[in-house]
Amino acid sequence: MQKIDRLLKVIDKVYSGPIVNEKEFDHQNVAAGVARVIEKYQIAFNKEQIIQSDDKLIDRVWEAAIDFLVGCGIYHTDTQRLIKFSRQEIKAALTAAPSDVTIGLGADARQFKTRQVEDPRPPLVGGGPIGTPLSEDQYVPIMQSYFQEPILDIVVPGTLATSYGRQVRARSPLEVIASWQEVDLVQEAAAKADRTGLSVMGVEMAMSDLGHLSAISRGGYRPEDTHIVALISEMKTNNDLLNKAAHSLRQEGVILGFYNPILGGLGGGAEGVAVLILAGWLAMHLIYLPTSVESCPTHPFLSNSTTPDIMRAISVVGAAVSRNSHLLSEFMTSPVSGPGTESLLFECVAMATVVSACGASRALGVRSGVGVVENHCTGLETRFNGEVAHAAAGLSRTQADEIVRQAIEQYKPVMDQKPVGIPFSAAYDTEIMQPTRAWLDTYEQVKGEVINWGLPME
Amino acid sequence: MADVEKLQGELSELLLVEDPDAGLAWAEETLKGDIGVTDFFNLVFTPAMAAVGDKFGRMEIFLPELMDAADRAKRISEEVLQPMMAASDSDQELIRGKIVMASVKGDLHDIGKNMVVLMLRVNGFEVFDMGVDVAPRDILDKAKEVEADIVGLSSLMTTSMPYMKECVELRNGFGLKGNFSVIVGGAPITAEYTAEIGADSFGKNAVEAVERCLALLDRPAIE
Repeated sequence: MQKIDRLLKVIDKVYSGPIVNEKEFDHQNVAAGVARVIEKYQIAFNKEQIIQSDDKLIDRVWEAAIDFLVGCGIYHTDTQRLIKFSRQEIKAALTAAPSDVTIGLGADARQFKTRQVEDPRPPLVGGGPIGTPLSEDQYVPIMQSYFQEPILDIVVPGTLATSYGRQVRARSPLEVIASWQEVDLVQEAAAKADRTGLSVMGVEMAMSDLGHLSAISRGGYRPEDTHIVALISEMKTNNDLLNKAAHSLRQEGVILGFYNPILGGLGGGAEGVAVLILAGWLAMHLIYLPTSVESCPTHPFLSNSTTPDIMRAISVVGAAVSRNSHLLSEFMTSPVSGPGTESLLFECVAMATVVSACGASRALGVRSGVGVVENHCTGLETRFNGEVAHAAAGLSRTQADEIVRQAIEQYKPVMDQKPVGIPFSAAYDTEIMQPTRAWLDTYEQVKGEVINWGLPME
Repeated sequence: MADVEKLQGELSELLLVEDPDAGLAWAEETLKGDIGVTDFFNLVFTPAMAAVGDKFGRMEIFLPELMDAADRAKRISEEVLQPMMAASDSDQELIRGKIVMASVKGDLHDIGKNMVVLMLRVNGFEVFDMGVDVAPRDILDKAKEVEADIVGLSSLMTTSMPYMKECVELRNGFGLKGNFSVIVGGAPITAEYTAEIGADSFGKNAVEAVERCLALLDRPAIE
């Protein structure tokens, strides 16, 4: 079936599904639904390990997610209707999803492929400030620090703290202007690094459909770039998001669906987060028809993704997808720490090792300092995150788990302190566009340490 | 005199058990004993709810349990405490303050905001939850309508943060600065930003939001 036909059937459901109160959806469909399948499929993670290696458990989580999705549906907040799908429709969407696509252009084009658990083939590496606010004067040099990293297969921009000196307001003309400014500045940074063909994941400034529909068009982001469409936590969508999907499908763009469940939220603990990520990814394949899916589950108080419970969930989701489908999957390293700190690099070690060993197709990072401190991000941590992901490819899950647990011991004591580190201007010599000696020394020192732990980094 | 610490512990447990009516039945039975309704409210009910909130803050329980506990506490308040206080002519306030909560325009994130709403409710606040993507003028109108003590604004995105500033400007522009305080929160919000836009306080997370709201009302933290 053509993609537009599939999307039209989704839109039909948006206007004909059962009407449900949103609070009832949260309580009954999501919270009670997750609890039901966790009990039914007897899902309990091994707290002694971060990387879960019980494949029977992992496959049960996959089955639980499908069961949950069939019962829960997806809530459309504009119409207050449920979009529901049968097992047959889920199966058809899984079959239709791609397992191998080309992203980017020319010499910067990359093949984005499905991986297996403990796959010796390295995942692709995505990186950038990933929504971190960047000041206008620093935007191009910071983005250049990412584009110039050869290990990067795709770049994810930061957001503009201001646009032409003005604070950007969602759903205003400023969103359109800022989205175009993002394109212009990203293209400038890519040209400076001579990597104009690299796929860019955007539009970061498109908080509504306005920015997306304008900046993904002539002169803006290309079909070979990666167009972002989110699922709202938990299990919700709206017309803004479906507008984005409809537009990008018509553009024949590479679409990435992302969904970030909250630990301790409606799904409860790590087991519920795993069920929600899988169900959300399947839901996005049903309603947005994306090329690939991504997640950065979030801690409710620290806002990071590198806590042990979250990484347990990620290890299960990565393996469940690899074992039961050919979906292209991706997870984001979102540490509490920022540039210049050892703890940032240890957080990368933990997450990128989990992601790579458990079969994810792409490792994304690093959203330093959880992406909220202006200009606190550099290309070096993304290089490191990618190097870890490459090195961990082919490790057994047992080997990987040992490394992850050692890394957690290094940063766990400082997590609550949120060591956001230093800004880009203090971490890089912008004359030569290279990390300062001090930041590079920290990188080398941590790299040496994890090599001693058995992570085969070059 | 009843052992209030023991009673606090019993109620905080009963707010979390499988039987949704257990706490209600227990409260009715306990109030037949030697503790008055005012003491029960101040020394048992309010601290027990705060203890449930603390468990969430330590991630010993999760949002679904917090939702259940808030619903059960509301029933105890409405079905047991309020009728008894009305009958006894008590002037005891059953709420610690009125708060209007919203995720501001352009922001669709609701779980963090919902966590704050529930934490406020279990800590004795009456919360008017306006949901997500709410325009500044609508927030202001709601605050006036319910005579709010505090307006709580959530934003997880830099592109929605300017609408927090608009809310503060509208409040001040309409001469309502003395009527209610504005507290802001969300991952990108800092103390500096709070001061810059003229908001009165900010909370880094749901636990801190409760502490700051109590401080805004000059109320002591619940022991």
